Amino acid sequence: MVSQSILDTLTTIQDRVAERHGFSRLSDWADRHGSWERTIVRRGELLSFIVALAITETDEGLFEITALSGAESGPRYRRIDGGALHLDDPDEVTVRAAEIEAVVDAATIAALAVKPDQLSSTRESLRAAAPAA
Amino acid sequence: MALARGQPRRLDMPTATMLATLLDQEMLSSRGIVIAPSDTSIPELPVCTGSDVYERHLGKRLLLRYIMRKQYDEFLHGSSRSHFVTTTPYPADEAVSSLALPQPTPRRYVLILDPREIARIAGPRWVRFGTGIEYFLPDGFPRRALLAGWPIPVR
Repeated sequence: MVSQSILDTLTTIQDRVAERHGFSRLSDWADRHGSWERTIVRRGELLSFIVALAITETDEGLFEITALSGAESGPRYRRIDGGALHLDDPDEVTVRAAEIEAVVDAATIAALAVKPDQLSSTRESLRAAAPAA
Repeated sequence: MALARGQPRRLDMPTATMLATLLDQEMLSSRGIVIAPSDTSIPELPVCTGSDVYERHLGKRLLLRYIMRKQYDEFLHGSSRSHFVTTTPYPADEAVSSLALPQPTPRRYVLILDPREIARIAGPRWVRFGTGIEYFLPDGFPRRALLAGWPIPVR
């Protein structure tokens, strides 16, 4: 079970990284289809950079901490899968805080390195689809 | 306005999953509902009553909340935590990619939620790093919103 104190610890870690790289909160902790997730954002001139920190109790009973990051511009985006840490007990977040912060920091730096011409995925639209050849 | 007729169109993503999402996008668009960009913060999203979302946004359709197997019986009495939900049915493995879930375990169960029983719903918004459409339940959902009363298996 992920307690509020665990989420508070992760918030502190993520906010330290956010402050270091000029990010602000995008979404507070919420359950995203099985994972607790909190996201931060930095809106640039051409791109928005987003970093998600998540903790999931897996079906095997382990706790997985994941950093997911990337950049977006309208319907175009690039996703970068950051590292994941596995904990036997969620209370380990306190003693492994430095490790978690390093993962979040690396994911944030990776997001900020994305250039507009590297947005490799697109959300399509029926109306924008090209006529058949 | 409904789907354009007459002019054949080519899509580079012929999967049923993508088509389902595109049809949901079209449904919302045809009703004048704007899907917010993925970098829109939760407080910036429009908040509606669940009945409004059910009638005006979704054309009397329902919302879906995928769950891990571990969560099978966690929400049988409802939930007061904040949840993301979606409009679109996905196969278990494609829910992970379409909703850009941080943990890759296929979601083999889904809760079907009746929006009319949910007081406040924010959205819609595009999923960050994904192709899905999401709504946000800031106060969770009551037990009576569970349509079947328990999770439905998904292949």
